[in-house]
Parts: sequence; C-alpha cells; structure tokens
Amino acid sequence: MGELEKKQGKHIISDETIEYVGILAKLELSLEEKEHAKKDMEEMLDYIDKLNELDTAGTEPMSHVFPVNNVFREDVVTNGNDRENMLKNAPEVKDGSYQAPKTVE
Amino acid sequence: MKEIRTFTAVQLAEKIKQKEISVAEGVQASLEQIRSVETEINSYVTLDEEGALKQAGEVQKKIDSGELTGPLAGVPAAIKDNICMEGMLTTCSSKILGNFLPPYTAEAVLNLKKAGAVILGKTNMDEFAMGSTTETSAFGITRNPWNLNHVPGGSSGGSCGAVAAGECFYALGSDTGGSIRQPSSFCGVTGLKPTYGTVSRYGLVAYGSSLDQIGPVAKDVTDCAAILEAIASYDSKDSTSLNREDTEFTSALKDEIKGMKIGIPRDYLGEGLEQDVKTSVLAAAKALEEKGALVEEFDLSLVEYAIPAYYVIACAEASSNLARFDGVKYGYRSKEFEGLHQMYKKSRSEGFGPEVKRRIMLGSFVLSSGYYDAYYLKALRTKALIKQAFDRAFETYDVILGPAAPTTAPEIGKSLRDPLKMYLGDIYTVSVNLAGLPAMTLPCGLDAKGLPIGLQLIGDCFQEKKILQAAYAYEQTREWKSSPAAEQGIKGLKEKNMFQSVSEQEVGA
Amino acid sequence: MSREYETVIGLEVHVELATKTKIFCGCSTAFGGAPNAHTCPVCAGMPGSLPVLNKQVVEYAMAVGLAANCSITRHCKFDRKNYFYPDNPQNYQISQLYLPICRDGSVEIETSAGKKAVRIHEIHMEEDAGKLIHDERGDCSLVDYNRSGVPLIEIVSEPDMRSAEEVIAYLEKLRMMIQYLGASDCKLNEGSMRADVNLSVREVGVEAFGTRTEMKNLNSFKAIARAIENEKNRQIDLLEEGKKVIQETRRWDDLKEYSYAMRSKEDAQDYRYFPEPDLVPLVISEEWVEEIKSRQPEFQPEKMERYKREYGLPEYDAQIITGSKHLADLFEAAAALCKKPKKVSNWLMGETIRLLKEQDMEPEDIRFAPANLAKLIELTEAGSINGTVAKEVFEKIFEEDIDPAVYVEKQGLKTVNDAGELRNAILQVMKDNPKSVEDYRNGKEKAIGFLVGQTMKAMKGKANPGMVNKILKELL
Repeated sequence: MGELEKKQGKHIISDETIEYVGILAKLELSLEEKEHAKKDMEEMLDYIDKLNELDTAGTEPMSHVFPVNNVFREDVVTNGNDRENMLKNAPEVKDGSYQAPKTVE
Repeated sequence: MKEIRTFTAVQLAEKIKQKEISVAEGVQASLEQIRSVETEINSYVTLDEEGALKQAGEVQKKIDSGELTGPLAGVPAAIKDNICMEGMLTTCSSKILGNFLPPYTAEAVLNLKKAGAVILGKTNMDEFAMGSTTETSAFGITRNPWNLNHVPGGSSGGSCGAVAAGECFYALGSDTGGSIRQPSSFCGVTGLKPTYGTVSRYGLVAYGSSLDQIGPVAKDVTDCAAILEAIASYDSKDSTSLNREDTEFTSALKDEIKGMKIGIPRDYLGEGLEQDVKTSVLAAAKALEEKGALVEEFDLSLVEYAIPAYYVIACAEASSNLARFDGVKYGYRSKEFEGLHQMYKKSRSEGFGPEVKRRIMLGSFVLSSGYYDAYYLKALRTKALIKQAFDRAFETYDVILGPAAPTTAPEIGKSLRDPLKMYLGDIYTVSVNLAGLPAMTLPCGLDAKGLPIGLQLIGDCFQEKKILQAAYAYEQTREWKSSPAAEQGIKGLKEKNMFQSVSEQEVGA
Repeated sequence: MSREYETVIGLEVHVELATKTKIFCGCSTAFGGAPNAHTCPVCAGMPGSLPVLNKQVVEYAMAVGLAANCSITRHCKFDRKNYFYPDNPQNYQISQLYLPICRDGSVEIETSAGKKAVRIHEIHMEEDAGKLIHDERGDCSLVDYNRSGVPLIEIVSEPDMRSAEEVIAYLEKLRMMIQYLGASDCKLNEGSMRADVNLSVREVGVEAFGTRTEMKNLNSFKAIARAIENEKNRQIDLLEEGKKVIQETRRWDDLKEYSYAMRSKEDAQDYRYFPEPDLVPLVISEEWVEEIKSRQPEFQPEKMERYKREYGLPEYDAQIITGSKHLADLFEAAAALCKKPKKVSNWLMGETIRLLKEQDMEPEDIRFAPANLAKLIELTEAGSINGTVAKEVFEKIFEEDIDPAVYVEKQGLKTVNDAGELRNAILQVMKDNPKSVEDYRNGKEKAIGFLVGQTMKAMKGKANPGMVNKILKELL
C-alpha cells in the first residue's frame, strides 16, 4: 500500500486503499458502502491523528496491562473425541469434515 | 407483600431461603413481566421459558437439601448474547452467528450456575458488542424502560434494559469500552466492570481481547458485589485470568466512607458534559463528602487521547478476532458464490452489519503493512501513558469519581448517523479498559426529561472493594427508583404517553 | 552461459514437536483417528475459546535452540499472523514475529568441500494448520482440524548455503540433533519436518543478494536437490534473457519436476502481525535455561567417541550407528542385553543396513525390538542356529519383529548336532555324488566344499557346518 495521502492535513483514502483493505478483511462492499467506508475511515484517521500530539518516544508499547508471565498447561491429554459437537454448527459437513469451496485450481 | 419482581436479587434469594417464595415463583414473576413488556422493550434475543422452569425445579431441590446456600441461590438471571452457553443460541446479535449453538458454556456462567442461578435467556446487544445504543443488533433495537423513545445504551443494552424493566433480577454484561457502565447509567441500574483478568473470558466471544471483561448488571450495589463474588474465579483455560485471593467482595458492603479520598478529574467535567449530568454527579460527590469522604478535583490528563487509542486497539483486535466468522465452521454462509474467496467475502459482507464492517475495515487498515507503527504501536504507547496517569492519581486517591457518560440516553435513531460523535460518548469509560481498572456505575438522579443519570466510580486495579464501599455508602443516601416499565408494565408507559411509534427507518443509518 | 553464477540459499525448516498434546489445548497430537476426532473449541476456532501454552513446547524449543548454539530470548511473546485459509480455523496463526524464543545460532556441517558453519537467524514457536483434502467428485475441499494446533518450531537459517549438498548436510545435521533431543522424529515424507527453500542467484564476485523465491512442498531430500537445481537454472535463464526474478512463493511438483508461482490477487501477503492478546509474555530465567542445558542428552560426536572407547567399535561403524539416534538407541539396548556389542554392531552395519537400502527405508523406520536382536545373537553364539539360518531369522525379525527363540523352535530351524543323523545324511550325499568323492580322494581338496554344500542342502541348512566338515573328512 502506498504512502497515505493527505489534503490540507486531512486524510484522503483512495479507491485502491479501500479495495486493498477489503481484500485483507474479506469484505465485499457495494459502491455506496465503499464511499461510506472512505468517508468513515478518513474521519477516524483524522481523529486518530490526535495521538501525534503526544510525545511517546521513550514509552514502551503496552500490549498487556499486568505483568503476568509464564502461564502454562502441562502436556497431558485432557480432551476426548467430541467431533459431533464440533461439527454440529458447520454450514456443510462431508465425511466428518467441514466442507469448504475447493482451495486448489 | 411487594410484587416479587421488585425485589433485588439478594432479597429474593433470602425470601427463597426463608421459603416465603419458591424458585418457580421467582421465575414466573420474571416471565410475567417479560410477557407484559418484552414486545416493547425487546431485551431478549432468546428466551428459554421451558429451560428456566426446569432449572427452577432442580435449584429448588438443591436449596431444600441445603446444597445451595449462597446469596443468589434460586434467582433468575439473564446473560448477554456474546457469552456462550451450551445448547442455547449465542448470536452476538449478529446474522453471521444467527444459528450458532455453542458446544460449551462460558466459565462465568458455570460459576453463576454453581451459585444457583436460573438462566432465563440471552439478552440483546450491539452486534458483537460494537456500539453504544443496542441499535446495531441484527434482531431489532432494545428500548429504554424509562422512555421507549430512547435507547438503553450499549452494548449491553439488553442486559441493562432487562434488569431495569424487571424482566430478570440481574444479568451479565460485557465491557470493552464502557459496554456495562454506559447502558447501566442510561437504564438507571448498577453495573460493574471488574479488573481485567478477574472474571474468566473463556466463552466470551471476543471483541477486543485485551480490553474485554464480563461483569454484573444489577439493581443495587449489594447485588453487584454478590454477583461479582460468584463469577470471579481463576480459570486455567484463560491465560489472562488472575489468581486473586481477595474476592469476598460482599465484605466491602459497609456504610463507612470517613477519610476515603475521592478525586474528581476536572477533565471529566468540561466541554460536552450535559448540565443535568454534571449537577447530579457533583451532588453525589457532595453527599459522600458530607458523610466524611475527602473529595477534591484534580487533573487526570490524557483523557482526550483515550478514545483514539481505544478505537485503534479495539478495532485492530476485532479485525483479527472476527476473522473466524467465514462460513466454514459455523454460522452464516452465503447462498451463492463462486470459489473460496467469494464465499468468504459474501458470507462476511452479508453476515456482518455496517458498524461491525466499519470497525473491521479500520482495524485491518491500522495493522496493515506500513501503518502498524504509526497507528497500532502509537496507540499501545498511549495506553502505557494513560495507565501511568491513573497510577499517579491512585497514589493520592482511593477512588476516582465522575460521570459515566456525557449525556443521558439519546433518542432512538439519533446516534448511528455520525459514528465519530457516537464514539465520543465513550470518553469517560474507555480509559478504564485501556488501564485494566475496575469501575462501576450506579444511579445518581434523573435529568429534566426523567431519564436516569449514572455516577461512575473508578478504582485502582484489584480495588473493587473500595469502589463497592463508596458506592454502597452513596446508595444509602438515596432511594432506589425503578423504571416506569418495571413499576407499571407497558400500560404505565403508554398511559404516561411516553411511547410514540418509531419507524424502523429511523433506526440505523 | 557467458557469466558465472553463485546460488545463495537460506532455509525455513518447520519441525513438528513430539508433544503428547497440541500447543494451545489438551487435544492429542496422535496420528490417525477419524477426521476432526482430535479437536476441541480451541483448535477448531470456536468463538469464545482461548489458548493456553503447552510448557513442553517451550522446553523443546529451548533445547533445540541451545543445541544450535542460539541465545535464548529472555522475554518473548507470541504474535498473530492474519490470513484467511480454511485449514486455519481462526484465520490467524499464533506464531512469533517480534520476539522469537531463540536467535543467533549456528550449526556446523560437513560436505565434500569440508566443514562450514550455517548461521541460524532465529527459531520460533507456532501452531500447525489443519489438513485439506481435495474432493474431486464433490468439487470441494474437506477440512480436518486434527493437525490444527500441533506444535511447530520454525528454524530460519541465514542465507549461508551455496549448493544442494550443503542444504542436505544442514538438514541432516538438524534432523540428527533434533532426534537426539527427542523433540521430533523429523520425517520429511510424513511432514514432521518440512523445509522451505529460499533461493537467489548472483554473479560470482557480486556482494548484493539477488531477488529470492521461496519454494514449498519439498517432501524428500531428493525433491529438495531437484528443486534447487531447477530453480537455480530457472533464475539464471531469466537473468540471461535480461528478465527479472520476481520475489514470490513457488510450489514444487516433484512428479513433473517443475515449480509454479502460488500467487493470487486475493492473497495480499500482508499478515498484519500484532502481539497475541490472549497469551501472556514468556519470561525465561537463567535457572530455567540452566535446567534445560543440564538435561541435554549426549549428542552424536560424544556418543561416537564413547562407542569407540567403550565398545571398541571402528570409527566408521561408530559413525554410521550414531548417525541415527534410533539406531544408536537400538545398539545400546541390544548390546546391554546380550553383552556382545561387536556382534550387535555387525548385525546393524551388515544385514540391517542392507535391508533398509533394499526397502528404501530410513533407520527411524526400524520397528524391531532390541531384545529380539539380542536373542538372535545369543542363539547363534550358543550354536543353536547356524549363520545361514540366523540371516533368515533376522529378516523375519526385521519385517515382523518376531521372537527368534519361538520362531526357531516352531519352524524347527535348530542346528542338528546329532553325529548319527549327520553321518546318515553324509553317506547318502557320498552315494549320490561318487564323482566328487573320487575327485577328493584323487587329491582335489576343493571337492569337499561341494559335498559340504550338498549335505547342508539335504539338512535344509540346519546342520552344524563344523561337524559336517569333520565327519566328512573321517568318512572320506
């Protein structure tokens, strides 16, 4: 994806960007939805730019809020065969497997 | 005797224990109220009448045999529809999970059942907990039991609406950026978001994993403490679960406030705050001061950065968490498609509503190649600074007091047109999730329109007891007011001429 | 070709760890079982489920890292790699990008050109994907999550290799090391070891790397060698034609000896990594590292020296036997039972290796118990069976892991030591072959060999050859 475009300090989201994000997110938007999405994203990014007012140099990114470490399970089998229960919600099942559209050409 | 539905959960459990009321009678009281108001309120996505009556029989036996003695035994409850229960539809109020029957039950619900809860059903919410009004639900809006023209707030609008309307005695909600506290405030009920890690997230359908917590929605502080005590547990299935030993939360229910230091962030009283809300919140602070608390205003700082940081983090996590809804393993699959990728795209585009898609798009964008540092890491750094600001504040204060939301419940159909404006309504709640802190809201008055105003109390991490104690002390200074829907049923609401038909077109945008 | 080129190769090696359970849930990693029989809400990506890390995975990863001279990352984390594919139930893979558990290692390899170090960039932990079966009749794919969540380590080398020979030496070294650790059986053909080859070419003398491609689906050393040769030539051809190599992932088809690009416009290759919020960080203490170090096994070089010293094996034999952990374990166990290490070594170096080659098997595929080899040696030593019979019985052990004592008894293969019985057989042979008897008596000593052979044949190989010789001489 290219450099983010801006006009008078405001974000401009291109058709290509919306198309690209749609591919990443696996969402197919109608033309109207795309226009909405562009506007929404431009507004949100302008707003998020507020974070740039903050000097965060020297601050470590905090992904986990508490210093809890090393949570493990022991290597012991605890689950039995529960395939019926696992498969019961599948839109399509065949031979005890989830059926998906073919993945090879 | 009072109408059964007007008891609090702990009061009802006591009556059941004294054999003045049976479990089945309690369930029937809820069901009758549901029959009376549900067509207008729409708190529930799934109602399990038959199951509830069956559970009532089983729970009654355990109470009679002395096996169940806790303060919630036999009390009917409702569960937000993003919390899994084996064999009961769990839809997250989304078309994409419209037919999903979980193969297992969430740890928090298992804990409630151990405490003798009777589960009535699953409550409505904003789709995947994304929203502040419960208008993004795929199964219709929920209306505010105080005024049917207004939203109940969100995303736990169904849970808060059900408790406020007397359709259950308490409920579980989930809070990622205020989703328990804001609707509790709008519906005039008491809700608590625990310290991150206190209640297991196992079985909670994730929105923003680093922010999500399950918590109680109840009629009063006592119920809240009892419910939290029941659901808090260390769970080896949730790596972020904390092994806490201080979870006898009901021990904090003391009407003692002398010497407690309470800080009010000046940043929470500025622009955008409705006058009525401000007046009520400051009056509540005054009431606590009069009881001996030391109250002062201070500068918390960074408040305006919490919302942008929150939306970056929550949407990024959501874009990944919601990737699993793809039409392969469960949920909705588009009827017509060509090939794998179109199946993905059509199933997801048809299955998700506009607000969810908006957040997935934003989240995918901020994580995409080239933008991760500028957006995601920047937001995580901001989160660290916000946590530090709270740490500093809690060096001085026991509890931070403020409003839960800048306004009371907005009218239906007025919020979704301008998403950014709606997001700004989260200003007093989201920073708490970023910092992992406990916070609760409880009613502190009504505005000129007769809509409830919520007081928010924020504690340092693990200090639920302090906020419960402050909340309990404050609660003693005022009378519990129930909603018109709880009081008189739907007739009362209509007679009061508070209900005007709102066309569905006005909802959503 | 006017210019001379150099091939630059780096490897990404995925190894399935030999844990009993998956990396993030208590499901079994056992092979077999009906599709989706080894799945639960976690490894089937059910909404609301959460991962919890298997401690053994961390310990195996550390052990491999230490064996490969890596430094252990004291503070490491997991990240999510986001991409949509049906074999990946969450549509993200939990992996490590920013802080992998091991970094900056190296392993020494030896080729015809001599010794050389291949540097390891990093080793990280991640989860395996499920299996897709393409249903031709239904024109669809079937998804089985039994392998979903099986723990993997990915060993990423620096681009230090220059030929297929070096690549194979490197893989063999890794495989031996990991097998010695017991961290995996490392079978390429079964997918418990998978190598992706990153390859580029550059003109000799040029320092900058060329554009590389990544080759996937390499299921044997032979396939790897063929794919490297093919890809090197493809890239050189492109450059010679003045074209550019495109950075892409390619899939090797070993039957057609051809690779093709795995590109799709729906596949943006933008994985949106971010720290996994559902798992807490890993803090590895000095004590923990020391504990893992103290539990490291005797690796091949030390074991080889010990075999020479302790058992008196020749260098070559010691090297071959210790070249496979499985073979070495077999050797030690059998030697301990029969107390005849040289005999055990002979059986392994001779018949065992012959049969492996004949059947295109790896030493890891050997299924017989050391006790049965030990018993066979005891039977031969006691003279209960002769050498010919022993070879026949050994084949049976190799194929079916039979108990040789029971087998010999049942099949009546015991050596005949009864002089009377032997004498009768010899007399009959002499009677049937008067010419040979005549020849011997006329001084043709060699003729006795023929008569011994005929006697053995008549005795169905069970005769004691020493006694046959002795009695024959007496009678002649």
